[in-house]
Formats: sequence, C-alpha cells, structure tokens
Amino acid sequence: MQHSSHPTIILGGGFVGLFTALHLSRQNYSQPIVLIEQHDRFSFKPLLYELLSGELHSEQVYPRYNELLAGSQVRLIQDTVEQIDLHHQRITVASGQHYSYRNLVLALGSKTTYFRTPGANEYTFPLTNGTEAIALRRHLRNCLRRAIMAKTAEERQALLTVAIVGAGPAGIELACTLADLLPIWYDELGGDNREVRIVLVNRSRELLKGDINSQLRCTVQRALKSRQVDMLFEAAVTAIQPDRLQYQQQNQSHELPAGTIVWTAGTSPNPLLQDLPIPGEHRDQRGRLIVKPTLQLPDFPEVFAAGDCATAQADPQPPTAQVAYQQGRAIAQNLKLQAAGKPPLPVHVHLRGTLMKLGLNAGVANIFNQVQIRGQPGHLLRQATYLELLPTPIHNARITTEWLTDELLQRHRPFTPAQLGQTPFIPGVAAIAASLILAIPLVWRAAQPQQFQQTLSWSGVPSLLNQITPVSK
Amino acid sequence: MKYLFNLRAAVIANRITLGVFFFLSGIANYLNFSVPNGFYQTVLTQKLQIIGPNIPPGWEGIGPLPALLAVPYAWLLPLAEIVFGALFALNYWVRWTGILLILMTFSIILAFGIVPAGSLFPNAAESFNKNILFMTLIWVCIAYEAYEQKMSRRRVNAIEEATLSTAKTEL
Repeated sequence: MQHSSHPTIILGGGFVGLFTALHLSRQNYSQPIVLIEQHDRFSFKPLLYELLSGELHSEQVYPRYNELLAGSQVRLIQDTVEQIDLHHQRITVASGQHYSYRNLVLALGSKTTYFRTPGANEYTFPLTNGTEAIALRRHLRNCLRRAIMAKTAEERQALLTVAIVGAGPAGIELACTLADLLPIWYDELGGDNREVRIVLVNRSRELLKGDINSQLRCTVQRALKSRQVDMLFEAAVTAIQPDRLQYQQQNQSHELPAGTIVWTAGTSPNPLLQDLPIPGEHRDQRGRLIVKPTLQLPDFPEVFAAGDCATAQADPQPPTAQVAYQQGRAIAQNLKLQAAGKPPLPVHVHLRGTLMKLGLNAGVANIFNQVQIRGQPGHLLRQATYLELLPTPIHNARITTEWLTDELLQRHRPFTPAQLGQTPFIPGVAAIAASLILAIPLVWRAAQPQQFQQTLSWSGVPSLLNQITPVSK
Repeated sequence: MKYLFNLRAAVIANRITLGVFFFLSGIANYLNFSVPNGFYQTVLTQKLQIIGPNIPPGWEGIGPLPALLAVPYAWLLPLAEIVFGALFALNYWVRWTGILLILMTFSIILAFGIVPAGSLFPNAAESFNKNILFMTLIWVCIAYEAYEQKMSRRRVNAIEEATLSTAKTEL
C-alpha cells in the first residue's frame, strides 16, 4: 500500500505538527510534505497571555501559516479532518477531498473538556488559541466598560468578577495576569481598581496538583496572594449560567456571580482518535494513544503520534511546548531515517526546567528544576526562551529583535512599569552597563596615566581629559 | 505655576539633580585621582574627623584608615558614585541606590566631620556638614517612591486626568 509518490501527511499545525513539517523541509526530505490544519494561524500557546494583555502582538505569537511556511516544501491544506483510515492510509477532510499518505503524523492536540458540566461549553471562555485569547480580551474590555455604567453595586461587582475554573498552570498564569491587567484597564476607564476580583476555583485542595510545575507551588501561592486572587478550594463546579457559576463546597451549594468565567479545568484528546482502529490496551486512561519509544504506533509503523494526543508509556512526558518541540524534531529525523530504509531511533526528551508567567512583567523560571529565577528576571528569561522556540529562523530573529528593542526602549507597552510599581529591568541593566563603560577609561587613566596617554592618544580623549584636569606625574 | 507647587515635579527635579551631582562627583574623583592632594591621597592620609576638629577639645580625629580599607574604598567609591548616581537620576531601583548613596555620603561626613568648622556658629564657614542635606534629600526621594507605589493606581490616574483637564482648561 505504501506508494513512494504519496506524501507524508501531518495532521494538526500545533507545535508537534508545525515543527515536524519545518524540520522535514529544512532537511530536504525527499517525500512531499502536506500539513492539514483547520486554522489559518499558528497559536503559540505559552504566550497567549501576552496576546491577551497586549504585551506581545498577534504577528509575534499568532502568525499566519502562509508566512511561516513560505519558501518551504510544505503544502498547507486548510481544512478539517473528518476521518482517518489507518488501514487504507487515507485521510478524508470536510471539503470531501481524500488524501492518501505514505507516512502520517498525528499531531491533533487536545480539546477542552467540560466534564459534562451544564452550561460550561456555552458560557465559559476557553484559552487554547489566539482567536480565543482575542475574544476573551474583547469580552473583558466590554465587561469593564459596562461596569463603569452599571446602575447598582451588585451589577458592577458581578461584571468586575472573573472566575477561573481550574488551578493548573493555565488557570494560575491567567489569574496572575488578569489580577495585574484588569485594575490597569479599569483605572484607564476611571473605575476603582479595588473592585476588580479574580477568583480561582479549584476542585482539589492543592494548586498545580500532579503537574510538572508542582515544585513551584510556594512561589505560585505567594504570587497569587500578593495579587489578592481569591481561591476557592475543594469547590466542584456544578453548573454555569451566563452571569454566574454554581459550585459545591463541603456539601453545600454556592453561587458566584461573575461577568466572565474562564474554563481551564481540563483537556481531552482529539475526538478523532476515538474512531481509530486501535485497541484499548494501546490507549491510556484518558484515551491518548500509546506509542513506541520511537513515537510510532505499535500496529502502524508508518504512523507517528506525539504531543497531547499520544504518550510513550516507558517515558511519559508532560504536555508542554518544549516537549512538543523536541518531539517534532525527533519525528522529522525518524521519518527521514525511515525514508532511507533505516530503523527509527528512540526519542529522548530533555527537560530543561519549567517556566510560568506570574503576572505582568513577572514570572518564574525553574532551571533544570534546581534554580528558581523569579520576578522580572524570571519573566525575561521565560519570554526569551519561548521566543527562541518561535518557528522559522527569520520569524524568530525578527520577533526577538522587536521584543528586545521594545523592552529596552519601553515601547509599545500596554502599561508602564510605574503602573506596576516596578523598575524596567533591561533599561536598568543597560544604564549600569553604560555607566561602567564610561568609568573604564577613567579608571584606566587613574591607574596607568602614561599607558592611557600613549594608547589612546590617537582618539584625542586623553587631551580632552587633560584639558579638564592635569595628570599627575 | 502648575509645576512650581507640584510635589511630584519637585521630587523628580530633586532626584535628577542629586543623581547628576553624584555622577559628576564620581567622574571628578577619577579625573583628580592621582594629582597632589587629589582624591586617592586624601583617602589614604586624611584623619576621620567624626564630629569635627577639636570636638571634643584636643581631638584630632582617628586614622587614617588602614590601607586594606582605604585602597578599595578609594578605587570603588567614584565608581559607585557614577553607577548609582546614574541609576538614581534615571529612577531605577531608587530605594536601593538611594540607601547606598546615603551610606556613601555618611562615610564622607565622617571623614570631614559633622561640624567641620569645629563650631556650630563659625565665621564664614558652614555650621554643619552640607552633605547631611544630601542624605535627607535622598531620603525624601526614597520615601516618595515608596509612597507613590503605595498610592492606588486610581489616584495616580485621577491626578493625571486632573492635570490633563487643567491643561485643557488653560489651553
């Protein structure tokens, strides 16, 4: 069934899919490469909070696939996958087209799951892609505007309350970001920022339970406390209504009026995976596909799967961007080996630590899970690390330069450091560096006046300084 | 008149003036480092007056400082003046740079004496060391920065809006 003329098809343009495609293209892969993705833009998920807050703009973290794939061998098909026929090696898309493949990469990611909570799907905001981040931003702005004009205190308080369901990394990062951001936005409208309320609703008693970031629990708790984020622990959400959230806590029913409810409580693998002819023993409890260490499906060696829709039982990895990035690169290498008739190699993912955004201009970088760098240095390290992961070298270099220039000159900021009570870190360090550079010739002149005169006489600097003050013999 | 009675403008002007003063002092100390009676020689040979000459009667001061302290102090003080002066003027980490500048100023006061003329009522000389004023002015800047951070953002915006509306009215 394997036709050499058939392409390698990649389903899903997330981290795994896009980076597999780009790595294959850079390595001059001999087969045609087809990327099937339903959206026209790539969502850089770890930086969606920056898109929401305006710290980074859409061209930086929500670029078009056409721009990213320009000049590559990758053919982009913008369509929705309807069916995957593993036995006949064929993909059917919503437009009715069929595509046969030689190799397949399943990088379909995950979908938000609502645990059958009534109203959750209809009345909550997820935050999994750029469109959702922009929609949430618009809604929040709208709520703040309506709050200014609210006739009663109860109505205003509800509009100014944001409930975030789920205290995993996404919920915490969002809570910290909004706790810094909304008071600034509300101030700009002339409101009283003390009325803004962020509530984090969590089913268990612990933050970051079972997450790779659990080492950061104390840092996270401090960040939430300093931002006065309210935390509802052991609160099971029972229903969502347009303007309120119902939950059970200690066997009692409660209601929380909230103008905005964001759902970050859970994800499930893409529903397409359920229809695949893969037996239960090759799936985990969540329905993800169990893959071999080479990231191939056990019964279909021409199919690779990674990211949120697959797990390697021998070496399970957290669903993070750095893992997906390395998996994408490894799949590309294995596809190339397979095309050359060589056996694929086991994939080893090297975790370099974790990164979390803990507010505007604040974050924590847990380097190799040994050293925690917090606050503004942590934020800068986080953004710099993620910007280095941006796809394509040209896009990467352009965006990194833009970001560094903006940080240094404090341009295009949606808020000022004074509004956050902070000193801008990069300009501060630049001022120290400039002072030291200025002091170096002065120290040199004081320590070795003769040498200073002789070495720099061509520049005229010694003469200038001598005019100001004489040099001692 | 708007700026004349504006506390914020006054504190900013005060902070920049102080920062620039320290910045220039640091440069001057390096430029005159090795000249006769220059900065280096003064630090190595000067006795610490503490309160002032003849206070108490017959007191000539202590020191000079041992070379182990005096040499690094002489080389690093101008550098610190340049770096912290620049940061202070540019409003970067004012709390910490301010505290360090106060400590540096305090060391200079100890060197020349709190009452350098030997009397609080001297003829044609300062009553007490003018550097003390630097310390209090830096303190004002630090305290204002802390106060500004404590103020609610609403109040800051309200002031800005009031300033804007005043400007519009004046226009």
